[in-house]
Amino acid sequence: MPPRYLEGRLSRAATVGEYFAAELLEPAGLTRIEVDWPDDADLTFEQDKKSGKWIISGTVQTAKMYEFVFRGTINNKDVAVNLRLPASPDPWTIWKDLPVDWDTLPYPKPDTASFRVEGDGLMIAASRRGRSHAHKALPRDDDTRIYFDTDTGWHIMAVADGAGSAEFSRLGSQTVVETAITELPHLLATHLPDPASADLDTVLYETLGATAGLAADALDDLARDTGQRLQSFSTTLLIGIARKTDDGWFFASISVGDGLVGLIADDNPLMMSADNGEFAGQTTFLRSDLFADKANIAARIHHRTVPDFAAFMLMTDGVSDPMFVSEAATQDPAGWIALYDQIADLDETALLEWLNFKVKGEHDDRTIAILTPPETNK
Amino acid sequence: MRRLPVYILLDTSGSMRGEPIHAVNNSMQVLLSTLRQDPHALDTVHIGLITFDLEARVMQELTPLDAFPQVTLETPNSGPTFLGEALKLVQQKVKSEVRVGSDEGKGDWAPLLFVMTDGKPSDTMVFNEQVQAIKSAGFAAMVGCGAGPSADVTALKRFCTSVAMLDTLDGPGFEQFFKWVSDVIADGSRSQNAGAADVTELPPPPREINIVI
Repeated sequence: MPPRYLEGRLSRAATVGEYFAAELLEPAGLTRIEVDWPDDADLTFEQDKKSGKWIISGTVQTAKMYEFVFRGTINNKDVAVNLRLPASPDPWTIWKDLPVDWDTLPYPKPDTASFRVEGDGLMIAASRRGRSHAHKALPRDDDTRIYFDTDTGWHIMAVADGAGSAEFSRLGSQTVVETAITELPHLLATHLPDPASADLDTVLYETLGATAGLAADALDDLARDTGQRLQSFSTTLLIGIARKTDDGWFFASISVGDGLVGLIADDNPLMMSADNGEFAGQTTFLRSDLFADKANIAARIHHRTVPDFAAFMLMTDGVSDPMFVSEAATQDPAGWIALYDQIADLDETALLEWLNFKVKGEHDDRTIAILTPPETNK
Repeated sequence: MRRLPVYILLDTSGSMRGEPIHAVNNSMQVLLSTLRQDPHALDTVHIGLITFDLEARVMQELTPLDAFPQVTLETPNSGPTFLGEALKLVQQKVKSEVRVGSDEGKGDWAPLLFVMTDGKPSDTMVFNEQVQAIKSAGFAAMVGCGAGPSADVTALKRFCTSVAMLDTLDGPGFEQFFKWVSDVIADGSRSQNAGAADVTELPPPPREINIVI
């Protein structure tokens, strides 16, 4: 008598090169299994003695639907079971790195950028197109600039994350970081000659707040000049400034949108207010109408004076999301130190390479700017 | 890691018996194998599968795309279409399976919902309740598909953010719809990765699909 044909059902599928174990959910009651395994799979069936469940385990080598028939016995009757086992590729092996077709897209931007500026401390910055953009031949939307004003001793760092859904956000991010390093030097020279004696809340509003406002105005200008919607240029903006003082260092920052600003100096590393939306991935973008609410802008400004520090860092969410598992973690110095330990010895070229780090599900553009004390060697 | 939860609700009532359910099974397989070639989707997409006929049941709990097993759907000989119960069940699953962001950890991306039916809801009272409730369940998009001449597209319109219509219950139609579903999911995993949770702007559907809303 020919065997009865049944459809098998497994509890889970497989991934190429990754050990897996799946339970045979159907058919039940098998007392014997005999299989001719496919060549490109290293699999076994074992029966759990206690539960009587059959477990298929091992590894597969090809991304495809494995389909094979095995013979078995149920209630002393022969059966033939058709089993289908889907096998996914290892996602790390299927990312593409496609160049942007700048013949068809305006506002070209290189896939990477890195900078080094020596002042009273050492500033380095690196920005890299994310895997998710490279896979679809999309441009880098992040940007960064750093600047040291030799006349006043101010270090200025700016990073920006152009919105993934905004068509020309690469130009938006470039515009706002350029505005930051163009406008801040003279505003700081005028309003903040000496952090020690200033009414900081007022003068930081007149400098950092004003610069962010000018950056927002520059986006309005872009929209007007190009005839595009303002939302096409949507971007975040983080600015950090630092200056050596008589008895230490002074730091200040302003942030609109996500990403992180932090100072490794004491128990209080975080130098920004969280600006995340209700759902994952939502954030605030820089818009000139934000500046109608003075209190809103004032709340985005933070400042610190410390005798000594290890690093002052600004980064877009492409770096902060994989590096900090939660909001709470951003307030813990341990996380900041763990991050800085990975990059402390890197120069700007090595930092750009480091930005390729692999974390599952984290493939956004990545940008980081770091200021370290004068004794830093790299 | 932030997951993109995707819930698929499929009508397995008696009228789907035969070629239609066979076509849905094939299309579901094409959907999964297409998504499995997308590294974003492999990283983030988790799929939960619910079927509804004379009851609503979870065929597969929310499962990472790469672990999602081969599933073959079957239909009873005849009987009602408990779409209302399915909407109720998926809300329970969202509550228990989708992670909400907090100070201690990041939440999942807002989930997506896909509903395919070839009939009209038989559990009218439950359905009327659930069409209201599901609007506040937190879905980034709710895509309905009314398949064949008896599909109640008006019922889908009451809660879906987009509704597609298939003229016939055959293989090519379902394949086109599921192809579009995979585009919506892939697009969602991409745009959300890139920092914008805006998936309400769905990618354009294939020409064969007639979008009602």
